[in-house]
Amino acid sequence: MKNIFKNNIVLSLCLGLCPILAVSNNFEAAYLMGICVLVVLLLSNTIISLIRKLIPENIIIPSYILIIATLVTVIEILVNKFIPDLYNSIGLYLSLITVNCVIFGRAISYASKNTVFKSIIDALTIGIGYLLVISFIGLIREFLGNNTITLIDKTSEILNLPRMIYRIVPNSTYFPINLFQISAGGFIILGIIIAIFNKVKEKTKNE
Amino acid sequence: MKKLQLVSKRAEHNYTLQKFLKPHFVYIPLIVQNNTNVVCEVKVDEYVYKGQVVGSFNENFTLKIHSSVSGTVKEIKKMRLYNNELVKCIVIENDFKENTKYNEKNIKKISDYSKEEFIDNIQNAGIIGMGGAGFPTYFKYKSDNINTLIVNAVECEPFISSDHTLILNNCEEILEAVDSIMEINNISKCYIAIKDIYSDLKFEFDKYIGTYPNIELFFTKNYYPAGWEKNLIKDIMHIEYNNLPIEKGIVVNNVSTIYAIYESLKYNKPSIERIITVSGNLVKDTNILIKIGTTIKELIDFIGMKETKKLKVIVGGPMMGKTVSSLDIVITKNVNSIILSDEEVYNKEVNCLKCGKCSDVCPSKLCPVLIMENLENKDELLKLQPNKCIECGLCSYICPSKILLRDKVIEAKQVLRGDKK
Amino acid sequence: MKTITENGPFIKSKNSTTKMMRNLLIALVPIILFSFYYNGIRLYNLKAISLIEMFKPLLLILVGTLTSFLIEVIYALIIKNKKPFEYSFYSYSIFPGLFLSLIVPVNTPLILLIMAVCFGVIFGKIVFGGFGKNIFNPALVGYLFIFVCYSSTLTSSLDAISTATPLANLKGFDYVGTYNDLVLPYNSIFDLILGFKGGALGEISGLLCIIGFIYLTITKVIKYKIPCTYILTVFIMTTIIALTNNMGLWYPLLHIFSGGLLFGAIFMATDPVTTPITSFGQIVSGILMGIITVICRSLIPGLVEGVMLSILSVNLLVAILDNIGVKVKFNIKKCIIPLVILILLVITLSLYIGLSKVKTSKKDTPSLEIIETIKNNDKTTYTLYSKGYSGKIKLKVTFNKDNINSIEILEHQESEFIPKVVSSGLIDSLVSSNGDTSKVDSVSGATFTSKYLKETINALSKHHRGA
Repeated sequence: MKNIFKNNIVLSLCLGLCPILAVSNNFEAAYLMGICVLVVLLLSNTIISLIRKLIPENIIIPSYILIIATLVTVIEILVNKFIPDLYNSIGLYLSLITVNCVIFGRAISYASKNTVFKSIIDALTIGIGYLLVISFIGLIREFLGNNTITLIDKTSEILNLPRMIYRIVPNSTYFPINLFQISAGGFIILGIIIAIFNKVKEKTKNE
Repeated sequence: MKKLQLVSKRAEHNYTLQKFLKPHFVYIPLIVQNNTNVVCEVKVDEYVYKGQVVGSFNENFTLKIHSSVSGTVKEIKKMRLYNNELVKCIVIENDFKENTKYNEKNIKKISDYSKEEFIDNIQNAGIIGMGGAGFPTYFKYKSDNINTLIVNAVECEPFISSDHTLILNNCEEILEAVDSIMEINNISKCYIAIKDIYSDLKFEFDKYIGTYPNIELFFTKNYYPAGWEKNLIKDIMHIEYNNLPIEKGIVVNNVSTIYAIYESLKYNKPSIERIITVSGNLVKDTNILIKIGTTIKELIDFIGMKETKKLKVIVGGPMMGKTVSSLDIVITKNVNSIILSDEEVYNKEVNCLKCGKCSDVCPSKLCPVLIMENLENKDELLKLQPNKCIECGLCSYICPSKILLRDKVIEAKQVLRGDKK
Repeated sequence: MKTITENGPFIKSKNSTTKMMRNLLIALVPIILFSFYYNGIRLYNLKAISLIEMFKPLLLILVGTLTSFLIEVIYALIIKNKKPFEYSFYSYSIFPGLFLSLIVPVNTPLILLIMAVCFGVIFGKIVFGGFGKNIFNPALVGYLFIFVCYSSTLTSSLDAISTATPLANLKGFDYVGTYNDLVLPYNSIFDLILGFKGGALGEISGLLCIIGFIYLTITKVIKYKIPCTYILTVFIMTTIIALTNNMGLWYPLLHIFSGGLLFGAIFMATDPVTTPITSFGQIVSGILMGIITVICRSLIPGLVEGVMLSILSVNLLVAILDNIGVKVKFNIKKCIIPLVILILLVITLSLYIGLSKVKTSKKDTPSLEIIETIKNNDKTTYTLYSKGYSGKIKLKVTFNKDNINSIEILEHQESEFIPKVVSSGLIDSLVSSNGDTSKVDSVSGATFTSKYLKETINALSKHHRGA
């Protein structure tokens, strides 16, 4: 659908950049964060569109934030219980989902005005778009910056699967490049991806 | 602002005055200060005398336009002027008899005029600024509080030497005219500004200037644009003004205009002739006295020019002049130089280096490179004040990347103007 | 006859961008030749390096220049330009690579240089639109890449050509330092000025940089106001620091001639594209660069070179400085407030730095890094690391009861100093001193190495007797 590719929330609207830059130096953390955002988005869109007619106009902002904060806290507690390693590494950014523009923006602009079914579809597509982008960037950053690809590391206990950490090319003094581990490298990768995305969009528009 | 000396290789100036006073046709343009609302006072097939009024203009100032030869009016047709615009002109066929109605031999003491008579006289003689701007001269003298007169004989553009030739030939008359103007208008002091490298002018002036205690020579350095009004007043009197020098009681006149005033006060002769310089690598350097309204083509036929395939005709000096598209251009009162050359000046343009040389040399303290970057942004353009540009061309001259900066600033002026309209 | 219409002035000045760049190259040639001599030929004569390694400086410059030229050629091919070599030439693409190869340490591996040049040219020049449109100096962006990612690689490289720079020496002390500590290693302040010290290719000779600056100012190639105010600010600030600590004129001169300050101020800070256009903007940028350099060198721990950071930070502020500069041009009275603020900042910061530094060092015993101890009846052999001038020195000291039997140097990184120390007999005097090294004379020209060796032997014998 359109929301996944053409109007991708990160690449064309540039929202929700904070977790992308901070969390995505590890592929597993990236896709887990994406899944968390997807879950929160789904639940918040559903709830908000269910009760959209009950909230008066002038208190929608505090009430939406209250709903989103509650959902985020629940998710945080669940993650802390079941995957404590993950909570140790990205726990801070989980709390920051509360003020993530993606969730709040969709709540205000879409869920408060449309039916439940449409809101669920919207949340799914936006969330999948976000998940794809953050995982892709996580993949590149981890490969370039750390020379590994981590598929399952912190969730191995709960899923009863072995750890899967793959080293790609043999280590040398010049590779991996340290720059991509820090946020500066994240910005650069994000910039390159947005540039390529815009170029492809322009080409398909001309055709 | 750095004071820049222009470097250009050229032949020696030739200060002997030639005369070309017999053109076949004379085209009198009916235009005053870009305003074509001039009333034509003659009809086709009418006989006109030399010096007769053929047009008058009566809007924000009053000015008369005269015929420079005697002969018959052939037609009224549109001809091109030096700025490539088509303007209605009265075409007069010369009968070479030089019949006049004003008395060429009338000699009257020119300091006997009163101020009102003086202003009437130069207004009726149709005298406008002959340094290039073309502002009606009588208007400058209307005020009662003039305390200084500055005669601008600097001629800062290279290649031009018409004022120089005029001074070498008519120095005594010019000084007499200045003295009379000062007496008529109660002006206490006069400065004549010339470049310090011209020692022959100094010698010529020193012969006569002793008898005039209130006239002083001022020597400017050999930089460009030393003859700009603001620079001149700042150098001589250390005063800055806002719009016009008359606010501070100063009147600035070109030396050719002073000579025209002399001829009008002494012989009642209107402004119908002037000296221009013809230079360039296709002709010998010439200073020639011509009748107003001659076409360039007739002038070139008189002087003689080398054959070439690609001709560039530049009206004005090499810095501020413009090329014209054909040889049928009418020479008007404010043209002081024609350059005929076929030299290539085009250089390959590269990206701007942001070296800052254009900002260093601009006499109006502008930054052309920033103006060029902000052509679309009107708020930023207002802060950069491109309207102060005098279009001297120094920025394009000095740019190492050979970018035509002056054209960009002119474009910026148009952007700002287009907005206001 | 055909008449041509053309715009603009019909006489043009003789200078052009290509001529300016040519003059810049001419000014760089003496520096390159001198550093080739100092880092290559002289060390080869001292038999410290091999013949192939002697040409390393020239190879570095060649590789850097060629890489940056080729990157622009590739870019021109990608955007389907018809004449890629001409595009690359008129985009003056050799300069980022050339400058970068002159400011990296001499022992930089070539692959690292190529990666840094690629990064610098792509993210410092091409993404902004090519020549004339970049905000940051591309050579410094490449240097930043090396600094962020590979600083550990550079310092741990065991190449024998590297020697510590006077700036690293400055940072080695947490107090202000005395003449003996900072200048004597280089014999005198004049040697420092003339350039007989270690460092990257461009940093070595301060005098040749100044001669290059005079040449470039006469031919009107660079914006001369920036280096003048930059160096003047650094001079004033370090003079105030020196005055508050009773040090002589050598301290400001040491600061000016050490590190990449002169080279950076004259060649990199005056890059025309990334610096302000107006005179006032240039003066203010010079002052700001000076302030940031002195702050980085004195106040921020862990940072050795401040020139790169200061130039990059001021590159960000160019648009604001030009805005103010335009206003000052129209009305000169508007320059008073910013200048007063800056002068106050200069004075207060230098007073703060000068008064807050500790006067003398704490007397601390050097901690011993003993790798292994072998006890064999009366003989004990210690293998340990001693602090050295450009790195650690591995020693093997044998004790016979309580007297030192022999001292053997296993590994070192002091290409110049250890031969001097050995040939002057310091090792023998250390052996015969039996641990009481206060009477042993240091070797002139290798002050630090001698000092560290003495301290280590002293501490080791105390440890041995105490154990």
